[in-house]
Amino acid sequence: MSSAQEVFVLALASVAPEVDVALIPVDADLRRAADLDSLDVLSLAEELTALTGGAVTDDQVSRLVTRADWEAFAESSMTASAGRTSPA
Amino acid sequence: MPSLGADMERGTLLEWLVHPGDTVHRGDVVAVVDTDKAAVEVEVFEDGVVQELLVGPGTQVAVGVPLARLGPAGATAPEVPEILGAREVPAIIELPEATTQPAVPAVRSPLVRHLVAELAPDEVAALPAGVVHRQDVEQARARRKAPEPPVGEPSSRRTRVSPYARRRAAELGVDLASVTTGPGPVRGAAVEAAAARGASEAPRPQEPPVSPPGRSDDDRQLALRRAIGALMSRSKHEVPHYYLAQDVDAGRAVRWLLDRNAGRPPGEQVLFAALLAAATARAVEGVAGINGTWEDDRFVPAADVRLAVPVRLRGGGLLTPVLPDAAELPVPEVMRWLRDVVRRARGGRLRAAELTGGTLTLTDLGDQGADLVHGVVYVPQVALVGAGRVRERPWAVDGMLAVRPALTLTLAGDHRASDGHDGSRYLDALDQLLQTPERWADT
Repeated sequence: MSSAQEVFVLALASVAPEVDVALIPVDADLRRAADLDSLDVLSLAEELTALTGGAVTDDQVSRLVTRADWEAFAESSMTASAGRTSPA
Repeated sequence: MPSLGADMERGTLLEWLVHPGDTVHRGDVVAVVDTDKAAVEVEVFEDGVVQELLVGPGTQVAVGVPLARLGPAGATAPEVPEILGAREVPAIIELPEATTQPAVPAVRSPLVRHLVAELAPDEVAALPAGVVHRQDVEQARARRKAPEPPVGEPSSRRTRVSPYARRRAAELGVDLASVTTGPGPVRGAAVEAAAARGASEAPRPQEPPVSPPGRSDDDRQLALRRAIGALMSRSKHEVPHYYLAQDVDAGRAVRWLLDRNAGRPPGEQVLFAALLAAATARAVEGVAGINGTWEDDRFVPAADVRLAVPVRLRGGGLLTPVLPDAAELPVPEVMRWLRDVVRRARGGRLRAAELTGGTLTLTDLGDQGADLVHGVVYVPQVALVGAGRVRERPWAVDGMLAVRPALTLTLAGDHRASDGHDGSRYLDALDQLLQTPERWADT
């Protein structure tokens, strides 16, 4: 199972392949740091939910600002998804 | 060599996807061309049989120069050698981790290879043994039922590689197995990103590149700036511009979007950019001199709105795809188009016909942009609509001061086709549409 950070890197690479995530401080505004427009942000959310199996609403997306926010979202999505798929 | 904009004087043929003797149908992608802005797929506009390829890969030719000769459907190609530089390459790249992928089909025609590359792995597996023909691929597509393979199964996902991505991988020495990408085929941009990251440690393939290496990033940037500069200079020289601006309360539009997007997954959400594009197209109704082109010293009004929307390419570059019948489409359809063209523009998969014939341009700086656009008309069009960022501003409402999301819309117009009164009416109509999205946006 990939870590949330790895999943985030994979998702961002599909949207902004030229961006080196390692150069983005965790507390940086991801939109500005990675030069993402609204469509990029939507695509990033879509890719992350596809990779993690989680779900996200527009309200949640609007609250994802920093790189740390996005990685935390990936983490929670993976956890939630694992919870849904694990045997009772 | 097709013209992909008023600023394009020449292009470089990167790759042929057909051979002499291949039967092609209207809309088939037959070649990949490198412009000053980006790599673009070129489709054919008639049914027929490829008689002769006149230009080899790596050759730069002026706009209007024939690239190939097409004969009528049913004709046979003359016995001519294939053009120098065209080489056979496998349709599907065999990747090391794909232990269960189907056998590589035998495909003679690059066009068929191109079509095969668009198939899902299970569809490829269902192709008949032996040489695969176009009708086999079309039958496989017709049987298509399942959506994209689930994300998270990279071994199946990565077996699909676009021709441009394949070429870039060969040029850059990138191991395609190391390329990370989203759902769908591996695209050129993902390969270039992998190269930039040094993601591949694989040795350079021994096969030479399918076509000569492209220009360096610096050269491309220089060519791009020159092309844009030439076009803007021409516009400033030829077009007697006038400029208008109108501040618009975006509160109702934003509320409509929030209500519509509530609870929907990202893939079904609609952005303000789509609403604005649809409104920009619809606002031309009843306003003269805004939607059309200046040709032969006169204004030619357009029968429908072909909305040109510049798309910034990541890593440099700019393409301006055109949305046909933009005034007829509901906003969700416009959103689907935006998603599709931005994805394909950035993946080097936009087609030539999608870049021509615009009758009105919308430059939307988006939510990270500046407040005001002083646009330059994209000749031969006669008007350009500019949209700054939506941000909260103090706003007077019924004698009270409120804080509203607002933006400034601008119009750069051609005085030969319209005047300030027409332009003002246009911006007012656009404003009114943004105040009432519930009345029209879903129809």
